[in-house]
Amino acid sequence: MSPDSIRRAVGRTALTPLLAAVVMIGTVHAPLAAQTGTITGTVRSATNGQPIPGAQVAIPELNVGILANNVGRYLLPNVPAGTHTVEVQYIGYSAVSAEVTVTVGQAAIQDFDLRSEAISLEGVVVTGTAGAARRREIGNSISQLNEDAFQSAPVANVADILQGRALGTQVLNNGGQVGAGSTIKLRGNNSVAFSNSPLVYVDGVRIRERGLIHSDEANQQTNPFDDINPADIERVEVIKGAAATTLYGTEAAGGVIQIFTKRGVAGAPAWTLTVDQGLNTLGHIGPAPDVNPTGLGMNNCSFTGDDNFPGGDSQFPSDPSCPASGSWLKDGYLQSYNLSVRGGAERMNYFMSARWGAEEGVFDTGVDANGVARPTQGQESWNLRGNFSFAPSEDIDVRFNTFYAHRDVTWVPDGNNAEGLLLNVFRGGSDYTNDEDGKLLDMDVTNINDHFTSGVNIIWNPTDGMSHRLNTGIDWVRNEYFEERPWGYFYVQNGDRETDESTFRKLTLDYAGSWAEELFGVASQFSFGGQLYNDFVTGTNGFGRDFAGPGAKILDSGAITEAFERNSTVTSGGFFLQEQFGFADRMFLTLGVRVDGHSAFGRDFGLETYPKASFSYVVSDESFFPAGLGTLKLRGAFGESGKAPGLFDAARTWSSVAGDNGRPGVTPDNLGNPDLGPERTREWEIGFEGTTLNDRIAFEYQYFDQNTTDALIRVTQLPSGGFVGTQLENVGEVTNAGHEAFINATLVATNSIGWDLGLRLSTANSRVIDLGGLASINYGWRNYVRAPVECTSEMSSGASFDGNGFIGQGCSVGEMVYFPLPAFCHDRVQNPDEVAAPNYAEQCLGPTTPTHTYGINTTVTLGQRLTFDVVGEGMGGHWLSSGTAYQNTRRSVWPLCRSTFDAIAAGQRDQLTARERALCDPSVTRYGMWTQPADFFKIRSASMSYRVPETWLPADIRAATVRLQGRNLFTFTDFEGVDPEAFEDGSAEVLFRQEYYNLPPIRSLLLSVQIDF
Amino acid sequence: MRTNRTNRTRALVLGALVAAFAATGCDESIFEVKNPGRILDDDLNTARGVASLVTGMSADFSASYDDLSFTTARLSDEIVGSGSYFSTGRYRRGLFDSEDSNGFWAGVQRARWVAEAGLIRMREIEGYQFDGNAETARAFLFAGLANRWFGENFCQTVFSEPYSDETPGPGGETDTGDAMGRDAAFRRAIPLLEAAMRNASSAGRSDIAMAAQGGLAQVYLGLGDMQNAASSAAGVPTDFVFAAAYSSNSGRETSQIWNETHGRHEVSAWMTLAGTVGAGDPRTPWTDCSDPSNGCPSGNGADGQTIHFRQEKYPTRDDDIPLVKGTEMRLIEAEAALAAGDLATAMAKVNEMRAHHGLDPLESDGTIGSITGGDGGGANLTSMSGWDILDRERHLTLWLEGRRLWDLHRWDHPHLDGGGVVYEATVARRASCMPIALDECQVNEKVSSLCFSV
Repeated sequence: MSPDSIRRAVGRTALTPLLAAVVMIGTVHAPLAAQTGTITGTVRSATNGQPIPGAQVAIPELNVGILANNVGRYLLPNVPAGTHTVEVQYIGYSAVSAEVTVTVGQAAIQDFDLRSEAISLEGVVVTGTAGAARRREIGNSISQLNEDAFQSAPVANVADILQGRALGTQVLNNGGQVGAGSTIKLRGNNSVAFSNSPLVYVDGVRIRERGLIHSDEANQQTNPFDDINPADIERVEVIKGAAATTLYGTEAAGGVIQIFTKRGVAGAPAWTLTVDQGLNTLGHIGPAPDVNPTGLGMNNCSFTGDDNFPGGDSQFPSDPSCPASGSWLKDGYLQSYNLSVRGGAERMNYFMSARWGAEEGVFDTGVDANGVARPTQGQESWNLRGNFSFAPSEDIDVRFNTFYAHRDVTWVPDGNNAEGLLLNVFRGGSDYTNDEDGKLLDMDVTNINDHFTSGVNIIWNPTDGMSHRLNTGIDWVRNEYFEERPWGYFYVQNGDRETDESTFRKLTLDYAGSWAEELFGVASQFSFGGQLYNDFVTGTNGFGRDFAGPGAKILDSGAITEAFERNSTVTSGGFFLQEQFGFADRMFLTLGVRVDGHSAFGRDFGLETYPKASFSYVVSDESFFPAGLGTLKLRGAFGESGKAPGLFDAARTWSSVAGDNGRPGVTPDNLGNPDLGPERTREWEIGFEGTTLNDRIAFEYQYFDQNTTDALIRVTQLPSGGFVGTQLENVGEVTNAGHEAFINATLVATNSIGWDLGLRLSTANSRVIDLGGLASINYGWRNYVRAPVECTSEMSSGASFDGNGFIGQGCSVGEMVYFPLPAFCHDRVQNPDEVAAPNYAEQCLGPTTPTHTYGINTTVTLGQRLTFDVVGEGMGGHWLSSGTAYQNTRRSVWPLCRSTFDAIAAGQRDQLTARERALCDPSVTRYGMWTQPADFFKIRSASMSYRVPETWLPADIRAATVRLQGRNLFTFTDFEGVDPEAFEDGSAEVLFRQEYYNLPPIRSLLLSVQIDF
Repeated sequence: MRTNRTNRTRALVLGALVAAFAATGCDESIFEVKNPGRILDDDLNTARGVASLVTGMSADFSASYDDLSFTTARLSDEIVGSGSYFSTGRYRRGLFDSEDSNGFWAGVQRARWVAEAGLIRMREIEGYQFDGNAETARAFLFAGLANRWFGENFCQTVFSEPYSDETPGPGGETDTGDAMGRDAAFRRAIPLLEAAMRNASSAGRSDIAMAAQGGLAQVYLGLGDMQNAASSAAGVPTDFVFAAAYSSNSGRETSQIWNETHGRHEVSAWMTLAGTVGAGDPRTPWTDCSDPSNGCPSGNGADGQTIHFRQEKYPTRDDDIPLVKGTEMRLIEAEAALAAGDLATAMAKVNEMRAHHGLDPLESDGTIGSITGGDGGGANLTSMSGWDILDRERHLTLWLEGRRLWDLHRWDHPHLDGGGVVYEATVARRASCMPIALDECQVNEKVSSLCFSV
């Protein structure tokens, strides 16, 4: 009968009267019917009017409670006559209450509209806590996104849910190919050598958080994170730093994202069908149409001229392989169908869903030389989920969650790739194809994912104050990748084929128990537990080349074949102890410790210990706090977490190689370090949160400061000693600090108009303190991690270009200058105004990762039926290299440089300024000149939803909603490359970023119809 | 009905059991690293493993020597960079600094160290007959040739003691070496190559012995010891070739030069000496890709502008790169003769080499002269003085073999003074050798001040 929130809450000392009432329902003896009446009604979201199944409705004074059924309807029978206070609460919503008068033998109708409230102090969260905890007890910030927050938005995956909504979260859309994963970071970067990605859990089971096989042809990769059907998600909890993630131990320094999927509730089957139809599109690419009429040859590949370019654009001549549409771009059709059902009985319930979707990208891939249509870039996917709960006894709740997803993605060669479509189209005639770019599309690049996640949660609450929770589960991902150049392919004429089949399996075993007692007037909750994670990866990669003739191929079709295998197992685990003291249910002090072991630690390293401490103080509960001002909680937290080294980094090893035409040989692999351990991130955080004006304004602020010590640095081994390459050492130090704040305001709340407005701002500024003696580490493409240096006069007085400044500019000679993690360091012109050849000096320009993220979201509801929802987000403080601008300039095909190209062609090079030459003279331009601030603001999504009046609907239809939605609608930026968010390596786990001929994020427009029946 | 106490006791016991179970995660056996595919260091100490050890020396030599050949070809304008690589943009303008040097420094150091340290290991392996063994001879040969490679291409050399368990490297203690002149590498090579000759002779492997003897000639030339260079060269027949092995067997074994010219269009022979002399010279074959009938994927280099003259010296990915060959030995003899003022002998040796390739003999203008350089990819195309002929003939004979940069350096070639092919040098003096790598400077305090950037 109980939903998960109730079960988690049971057993805690701080059990609220409301929850207790709901739990006690099974033990209450009903008064005689003759003296009673009934209270009934519906619980809905105040924002969109949708029912809230599972909402807890109770009369605490009577110990009477019930859960709203799957259409939000509740019924409290046998309520004694008289006036009672009925209270309603649900995770993520502000509790509400109403005085209801019950008349003998009558049914009193009382509906409730719950306001979504992600920071309600009574809200229950579970991520980063030993068990369930109310927000008032938690000393660190935690972002909670409930279904209500994204239900109306055009959400295609989990990244879309987080983007623009979760405070302190950066979600960067790297590319526009359908199926490509995003980059997700919480509070920026704090690790030099390892992923800064957060850990991801789904219903308590840890899943693979990183991208799968990186296609070196498409330069993109799918992310299993995106396999989760967003329509299945009930809420997402995000904790961002070591102060919050201590109990997750090693590997959790990048934060934790936990996803909770929907559960069944008591009642008859309630079905929901959602149909989405829409299109993907991309507008004009590159510089403005007046100088770039063909969109660098993409928007129009058969351009024959206009007023500005009579006769055509010589930089982008017509391409004989141009598709019949005259463009390499088209509007791609997208469709998806989602059907779910939830229901159940008092002790057993279910939620099941199925989804199928097909989505085309924006490339017009045309036809091949035989007139056969080439595969379309895009993906086809389907998902199945079954969540089942049953309560074999009053104090045990068992949940079984299973999920399966399949995705089939077809890529187009893209990015930093000689056979990339954009690279060759953008370069006009100066390309690899003799300007017949359609030849590139004869290459097939496909990716197939199968993703299975299944887990069992057992919650046992044997007594008041005692609870046990056991989570166990498996996350299994299989990824097949195929890449084939057919026989006769222009670039590899005998053709070749690569296949890669990988399996990633994570096992989770997670126990937590807690024991609550009242000790000398102080509430005590002692928690304990342990986790064991097993991460197994296996895969084979095969390559065959030189086919004998045309036709469908397998690896064996090649005259020459190669095979590779990878196979590894990592096990990590540990236990924790935590004690929480509560004073008058308003002051809480939590102390804890986590002890970890890990496969990757050196043999002499042993175990690692991470402490934590936090406090929270609900000052608004004090008598001195002005009544009616609202709620206010002060909080602070300290904690440590870590990141483990790689699997083989501790051992000295050699690799098998071939030499002398296929004979077996060995080569040095890894030097080894028996003392290798994890890097430790220590964080403290202080802030406050609360509400005011009758909860019409909610706010939160925190400052965090992270210090990563024993940072794992790939220290260069002494090359002259023979073991070349790098060896991980615990020698570095990195800091990272920032502010996070949001304010959500209900500006208008009447029966006819509702207007909510939210503003968010977060910053994260990293700084490298020490690299263990190394001065600089090049992560590629001039993305550097650099140790501090003393300011020199040259640094201090260096000339900045276009007033954009550089790191160290104006420093005092002798003071230390620190660099972000990582920074672009490039050659920049020093004599821009001289009529002379440019003089260059290397300058570190700025961070490659945004240092601040801000957002605005607003929701307007008219007549409780028509809802407009817009999410805008900006990022800034970072720089980005445009490989497109630089490389096109080197080839004299960059539209912004036309006047300089013309001057050079006219023999006027000597009359140009150094600025003009540094930017646009192909013979002397430098990459650094096309590395620019990449601040941007984007309208991430906008939607208009209309809830069809119930009277218009057939009797069997409970509700119907029509939505017109748009995603990635507008971009505002001064960045002169293709897109300030574009990253040529997709969601690869690398520190560097650069834009390099990859398709920018695309725009999606959808019409969505949801029917509840 | 249960009491609260009973419940609590049961719950505590269960909780303790589960917690204890979870805590067993700390047992070492659970956290044991499973690393199939890797070989532990101690496992190499077996006689059966020697062959793999020595093959590894050959593999490590080849794995880096093609990169060296490709890059020094760009840096010396032996071939013109025609692609998009950031490095190409620097090298063709004569720029090369300590950061550029990282990969090449690591490559030669690894090739040298695996051979030298491998010899130490082999000597101590129980059951392995070290002396007179062909594997021993090969190991000495690779150690010697790696030192020759080191001396020819790097401005300075550094030798540190190999790591061991007692000296674990960064973070531990190591015996870091001092910077020395490039002669140190040549001198280090001599006993290694002599040992290779001795062991090869004992093992009946004349090919290894001949390669070592040719290597000695190269090393003595590097030291400026013309007499020993010529006498060593004299023992190597003109048709002898010992090469770094490449193969299509695996990706690591394929030749990078093939990949950058056939697989991609990153370098071109256009306007270089080879391109100017013509495709008919058997030493420097190339295909004009701008002629559509030749079937190239594209007519231009990857930069979209430079005409792609695709080298055909290495037309497949498994073509070996010569390290020691008899034709070079004739040119060493010719150079020794020129240095001694004997033009006639020099021309005879040059023409002996040309005859081997089926080329007509050359006739000098009767002067020994000096290297004057010019527009023929850095060479004087018309001069028939002895030194200009030798300049062109070494250039063409050793084309794309990783030797040209060394010749430019040791001859103080005029092309180094701002010369260029297609792209002009942007420095008054082109880089003529690779400096100590930045990676070395960052971890070896004895040389930390010797790195630079341009």
